[in-house]
Amino acid sequence: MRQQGGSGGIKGPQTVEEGQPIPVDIQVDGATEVIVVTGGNSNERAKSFPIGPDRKVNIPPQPSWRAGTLVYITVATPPYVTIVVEIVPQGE
Amino acid sequence: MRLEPVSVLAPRPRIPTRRALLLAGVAGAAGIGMGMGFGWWRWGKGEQAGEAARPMDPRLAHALELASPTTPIQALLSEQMFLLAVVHETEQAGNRHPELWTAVQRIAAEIVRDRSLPDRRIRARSILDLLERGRPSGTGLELLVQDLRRALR
Repeated sequence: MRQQGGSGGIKGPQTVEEGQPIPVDIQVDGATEVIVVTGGNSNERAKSFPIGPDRKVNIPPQPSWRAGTLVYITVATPPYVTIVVEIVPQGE
Repeated sequence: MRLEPVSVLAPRPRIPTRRALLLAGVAGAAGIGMGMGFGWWRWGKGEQAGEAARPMDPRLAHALELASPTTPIQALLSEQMFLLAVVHETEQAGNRHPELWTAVQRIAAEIVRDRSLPDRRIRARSILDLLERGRPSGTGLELLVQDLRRALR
């Protein structure tokens, strides 16, 4: 079951199954994009994704994301609120 | 018929068109060259020498400010994930900032110390996750690894 996590200004699940997108809600005024950073020892470069007019962004699963990967999602405008999402095995 | 002498102004000597264009081109090229040279001196050298001093982007600037030794630990904790994201990104780019790692060490030490810290498990997990990328020597983080792993339970 997904749990909702967030830190005032950005909300998203705490875990996402492998292969699934990460849905994120943004409540920061004026924010137009989020920066997605893959944790661990991944060589995947940080990527930006635009925030839709409904203040949502659906981050597609990246090829390198495996169960156990931590994904950091930062709103690209101050105060740079950030959440971390853990990729979990399918069916978990 | 009587011819009166008439003074006629001699035409102003003109530079031949081709020569004028050549001089203008040389002057223009010299000006552009001087401008480029000045620009390289002013910003090019500075960019190489100041890469560590001048933040690459506003997020890094904010992270470096946050990493100040005078930042209260609660402020660090409230922005832990942002800080870790920036460390990941800079390490991926091959730009190590020791002061960021020092801030990470402060956070890790607090996670170990305060067992009542909210979200302690994911906090410890994210620090350990970062250490998979690299463990700079001299930060003291190695000493905290075992305690951080205990915090996962």
